[in-house]
Amino acid sequence: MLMVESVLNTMTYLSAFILTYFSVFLILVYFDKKEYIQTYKGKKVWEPTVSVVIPCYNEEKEIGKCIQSVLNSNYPKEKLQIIVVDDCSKDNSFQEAKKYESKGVIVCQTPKNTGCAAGSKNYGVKLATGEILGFLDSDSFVEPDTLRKMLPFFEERDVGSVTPSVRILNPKNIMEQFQCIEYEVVIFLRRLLMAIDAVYVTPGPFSLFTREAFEETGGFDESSITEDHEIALSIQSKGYKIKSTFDANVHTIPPNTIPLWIMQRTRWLRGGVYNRWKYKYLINLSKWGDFGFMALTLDMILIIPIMMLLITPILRFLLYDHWMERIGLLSVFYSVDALWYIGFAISVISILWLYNVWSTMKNYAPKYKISWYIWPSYLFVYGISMSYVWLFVIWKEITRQKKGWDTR
Amino acid sequence: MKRKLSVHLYVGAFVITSLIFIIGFALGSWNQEKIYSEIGNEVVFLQERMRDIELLLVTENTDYFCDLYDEKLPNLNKDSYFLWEKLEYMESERGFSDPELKKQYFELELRDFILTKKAKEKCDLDINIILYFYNNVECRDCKKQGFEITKVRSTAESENISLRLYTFDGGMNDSAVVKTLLNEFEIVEYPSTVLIKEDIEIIKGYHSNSEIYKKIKGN
Repeated sequence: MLMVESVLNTMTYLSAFILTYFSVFLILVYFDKKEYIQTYKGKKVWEPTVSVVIPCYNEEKEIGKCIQSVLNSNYPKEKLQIIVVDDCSKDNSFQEAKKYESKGVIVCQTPKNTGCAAGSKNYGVKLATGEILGFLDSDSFVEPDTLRKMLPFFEERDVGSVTPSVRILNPKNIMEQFQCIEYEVVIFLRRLLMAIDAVYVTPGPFSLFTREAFEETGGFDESSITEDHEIALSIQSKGYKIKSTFDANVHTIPPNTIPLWIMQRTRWLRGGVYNRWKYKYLINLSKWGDFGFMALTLDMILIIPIMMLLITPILRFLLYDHWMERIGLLSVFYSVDALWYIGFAISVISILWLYNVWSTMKNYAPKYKISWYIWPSYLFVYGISMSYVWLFVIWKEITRQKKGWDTR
Repeated sequence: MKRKLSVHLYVGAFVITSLIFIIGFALGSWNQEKIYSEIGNEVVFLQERMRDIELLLVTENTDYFCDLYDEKLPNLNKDSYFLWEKLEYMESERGFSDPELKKQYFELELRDFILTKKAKEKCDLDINIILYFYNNVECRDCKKQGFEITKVRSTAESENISLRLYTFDGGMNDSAVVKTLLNEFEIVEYPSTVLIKEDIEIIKGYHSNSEIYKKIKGN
């Protein structure tokens, strides 16, 4: 029993240390590169030809709005090519997309279902002629000036990709509101990572690539279920940089129920593991520096301490905790030890951090209506609940479930 | 192309995180010590109350003994038991122990026990006495048994059955009190529960609260 206790204690402290270390590291990045993070927008005035590929599978309700959002771009029409690739949808997505052919949109269908977004994207690229290639999810929508705000970021020669600010469209229910905060935090986080050239995801909803960088990677990896993550690792490993914007908005529809959310996150985590294994050589920090470290550790290692911090108290409670019955609330007061103070410090850091993120992001984001109780729940429930998705990942791996689109 | 590694940020983060932990440990340890010193104060306070018992001992042969016993002892035993729970929590859960304080506590218990035994005989009281021997180092079931003993105590209290409970850490070999009791009841294994009613019964090993309670009620 005593050995189990000391193992649990050691793991808890170790987990808390890792969690605190990453939080502090990101805060230091922020203060070290504050001006760059807050102001960098790129200066290059440039109007290259742009091809936007829209992969589509069973999105008959959204595909029209998605295409229209690109058509509404304030970008020269002659320099903008739109390609919709239907992956043999079972609904009327293809017919819906066809309605836009008269507006110059190229609509095609894969010969047979490729089973993943990567397959459709690669299929669409074969028809693309632009210098810049964009990939837009069919349940996402760009704003008229999104392209114009993203292109200046290509000013440095070695920039291979630019990511927009992916935001939640009209968050209504609790799940959508949670994700709304989460997406804002991620935009901020990506700006931090950009400051140390360590962005490791080009978001699926929309991202731009130079043709040169894209072709050098060999396109999207069709064996990956998170091809947006894989291609970012690939681009960075070819020596290109990825830049991220604050205000080039792309709106997306998040999973609005818990089962859908779990399905999406399971796919992300599962894909993340495969991709990181593929790029495990990035661990050579003397060669890959900050990018290697962040790409392999952040949100992978981080999920372990979060899970540990959640599991150990539960284990303790299930195995031994009968003190509440014996000495009542004193068992709580008497247990106030180092971990409580460290936990308190982490909580204060998280609250201040979230406050800083939100007050920065409100300058760029639409005015969301977030219920008051969502904020504490986001910090202390939603964030931690992510770690439980690992259980589904493990389950899917054990049962060897097929990888696929895993969308609505 | 070789990528930049922001060594200063990694080192800075390590230093700050370590500082947070050092401060956390310092505060945690300060808090635990404060709690333990509060428990120490309680022991001192109980010792003061023990003077009342000593007064009883002096008046043992007078006619007031039984009345005084009834008035003073039960509450002291109750408080004393709760104090043991707290000491136990700090030792087994928080790894915080002060052998001197425990010795003082066991001395207090022994005096209470002797007096209760005398009162039981002299005043013809129907009091059940339990001496519970445990060992925090070499005993797998002691933690569980401690929980069961507490349950016995609360059941007896709810059913208005008179029960005095005394606990002793058999691992404290350097305590004369503990040594004496171990010898007297020939305790060699833990947990062991000595049940004193009309006669003495020694229950070895782990037993559930209902088993022990049955023995107290005598059915």
